[in-house]
Amino acid sequence: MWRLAFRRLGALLAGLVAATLVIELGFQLILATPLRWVLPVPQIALYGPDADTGYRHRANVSGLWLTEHRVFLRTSNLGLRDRDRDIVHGNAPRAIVIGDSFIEALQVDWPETAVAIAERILEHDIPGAEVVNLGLSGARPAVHVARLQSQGLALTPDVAVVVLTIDQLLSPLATDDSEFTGYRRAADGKFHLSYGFRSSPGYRFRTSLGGRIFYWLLDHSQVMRVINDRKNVGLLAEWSQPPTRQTFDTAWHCPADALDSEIALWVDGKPAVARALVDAFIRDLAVIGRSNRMPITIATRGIEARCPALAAKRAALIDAIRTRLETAGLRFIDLDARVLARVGRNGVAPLHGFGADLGLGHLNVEGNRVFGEILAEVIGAALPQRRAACQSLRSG
Amino acid sequence: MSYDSLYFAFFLAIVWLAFQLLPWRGWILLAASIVFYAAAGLRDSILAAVVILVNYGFQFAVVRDRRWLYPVLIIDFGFLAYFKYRVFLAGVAGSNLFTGEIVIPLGISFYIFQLSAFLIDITRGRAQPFVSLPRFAFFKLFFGQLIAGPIMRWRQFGPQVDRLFDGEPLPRGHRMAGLGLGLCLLGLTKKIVLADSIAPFVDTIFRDGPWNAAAAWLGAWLFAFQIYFDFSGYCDIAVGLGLIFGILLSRNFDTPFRAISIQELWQRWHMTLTRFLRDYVFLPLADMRLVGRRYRVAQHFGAMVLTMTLCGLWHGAGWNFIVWGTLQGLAMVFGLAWARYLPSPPTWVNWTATFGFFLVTLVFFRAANLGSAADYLSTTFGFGGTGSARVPEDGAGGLWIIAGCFALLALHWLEAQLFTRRTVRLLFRFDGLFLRVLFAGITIWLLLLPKAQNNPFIYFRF
Repeated sequence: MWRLAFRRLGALLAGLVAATLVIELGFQLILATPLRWVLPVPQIALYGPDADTGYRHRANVSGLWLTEHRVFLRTSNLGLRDRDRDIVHGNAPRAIVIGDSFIEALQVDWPETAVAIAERILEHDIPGAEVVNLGLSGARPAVHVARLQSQGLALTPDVAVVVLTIDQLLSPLATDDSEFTGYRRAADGKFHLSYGFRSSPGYRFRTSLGGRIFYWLLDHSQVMRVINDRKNVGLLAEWSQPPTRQTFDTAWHCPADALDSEIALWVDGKPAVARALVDAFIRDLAVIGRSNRMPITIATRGIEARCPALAAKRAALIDAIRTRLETAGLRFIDLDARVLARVGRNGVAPLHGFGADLGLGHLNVEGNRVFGEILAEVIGAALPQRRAACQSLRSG
Repeated sequence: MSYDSLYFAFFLAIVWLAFQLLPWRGWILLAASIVFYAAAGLRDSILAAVVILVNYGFQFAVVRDRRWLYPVLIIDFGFLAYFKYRVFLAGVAGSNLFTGEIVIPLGISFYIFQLSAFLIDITRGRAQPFVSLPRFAFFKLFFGQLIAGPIMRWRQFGPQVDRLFDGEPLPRGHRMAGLGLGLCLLGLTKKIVLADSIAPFVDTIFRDGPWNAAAAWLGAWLFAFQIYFDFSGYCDIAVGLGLIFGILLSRNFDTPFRAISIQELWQRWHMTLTRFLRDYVFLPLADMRLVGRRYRVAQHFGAMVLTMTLCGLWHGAGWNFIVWGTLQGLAMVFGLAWARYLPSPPTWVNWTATFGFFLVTLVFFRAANLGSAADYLSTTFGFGGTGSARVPEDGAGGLWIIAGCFALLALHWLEAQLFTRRTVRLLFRFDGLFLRVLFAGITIWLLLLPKAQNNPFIYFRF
């Protein structure tokens, strides 16, 4: 009887191992051939733990990104969504662009990202000029600041651009530090960067030997990536999947109460928590800019610019944001207005999404081109300011 | 519940365990089928329950007097007309009584056909009524074939239902489980690996319109394989699920793209629907004494075209489906007339003509409406391009894409080599715990891979 039980157990284990090997070999075969552009494969796992921001790209990781658009990705030697480069740069200027998934642009090939395009444009005028991509999916204001302080300053940039999605300052997640850096109120009553995630079990595991083995497996085993992908979406994710695809609405929406919460925050200073958060964000960026003599530009996005009915409200909001930032010594760029000026009202939506989802989601190739040109303008305008600051320092 | 989801795998595992451990096999599968269908929503479940009760009640009346068949068919097809065709029919009648998007109850086209065939078979003496309501309900509700067929006849399925509820042993013991799991794996591979991978290209070309003839041909070619892999994949899973529970369901596909005539193609494509249409639409129409002997051939041809037109209408409530079906019928008539009066061309010419015709006419099936189909076809034949979808860049001047298209055809040929008695014998020979765990394991790995895009089975919408 025991013999039969062992035989059955052996057959069961052998079957499981064989199935796993078949799948691993199948995915490896797909990835190694042009079939990878068509057939299903697990998605690349890009991120690892980071003591300053909670998470960041791991260096030299490669694989296919499948969300929105299929792209073969490789993270840089510095652990950025960027090309490989030395951490020390020469005499040519270096700019860094900090932002969320909008700047990270995993959905397009690296040369087609807005940051890479901006670099090519600037390099044409200033040989050797660099623009480094510090975009990170899901990054919120506190992560922007922490990333600028740690990974950004390590690159000794001449100019920094922080692309800020405006509603992030109102998000409750801005004060959540359980998974990545957040703003928390300290004893002085003000908000400061907080790193509660460092004591979380998940972070502790990811930074342990077990975590290192886990990431090694993720980088070398497709089956492991399948498990990781499934963990991320949830075991029963398909149960709640919408039965039909979202369709692209060619008309943008202009509800009468749009921008009200932003105006309440920037003009009236309400709610108080968000106001304090904005104060902390601006304060921290201004301190970094001053102490490093580095012009920092805040480029806002997500302030709907296509609605004539909202023009007056919008102008008041933009004016309030500009005043707040410039008072603190930061530069301000209204990205939405710049995009609108380039492509017109009907040209904004087609900058987003791919194929059947055109008009929805992140920037497509054309969208990145437009934003890249704008970024090049913004950085190009900030560079003389930096040179002036350096010259005044030398003459002083 | 969709067969290509992880939660269905969990559901199946629970049902299978209960099926293995408990003695009430028929009841377990009936309960599972009710749970499976209940997931479709309250409206669909109530409708299914009403249809079951009406048909169950009427079957006894039909046995006593065949004239009772007509009211029950009117009720059944009335449900179908209301839930699937009301907007189209009202539009044809020039009324806007029903407007807006209609959500077709899950599997209604299939179960209405199965129940109607059952009642007609009773009047023909080819089926016996179910005395037991649970058995009758299971005949209609079995989750392995409820949503999109295969459409089962009583003579194939009825005795198996009785065997399950009577607690008789499974045919070949549990040895069919390995074969069933193998079929489920094959079907899932067709769906997840092939059909879903082709879908984004097809969606883009048909949505944006082809930019030139090459893009148009590519779209049609890919759609032919998408729908084949999608539906035949579903059918493989359905047959596989049946085998896991000891139930033999009918095969629905027999590598149709190897056919060398349209008639043959339809004998290999959605075979249970073709047989239904032949037995319950074409033969009654063709055998009706409407005309004299010398015009009987014309009547047969007319019946053929009308049957295929109805086949088109069954697939969807739109003129494009009607045109698609009519063209299939006309092509059959053309093929038969050619065979009757003209010498047969070489096989490769027949194959090219058949496959080419099927590709071109599938545009009517896939396009949103007749106008879009006409635009698409004008591009297909080089009369300018109105769309913006180009042939994707492959970095090799299109060679990889051509190779990929022929690889799809090669896979079709490979499938024909796999579906043999020898393979079945081999599977029976090597059936055991190792093989079953191997098949189940690969299946689970495929299901674990999250989907980049939601692509429901195409035939679920019919």
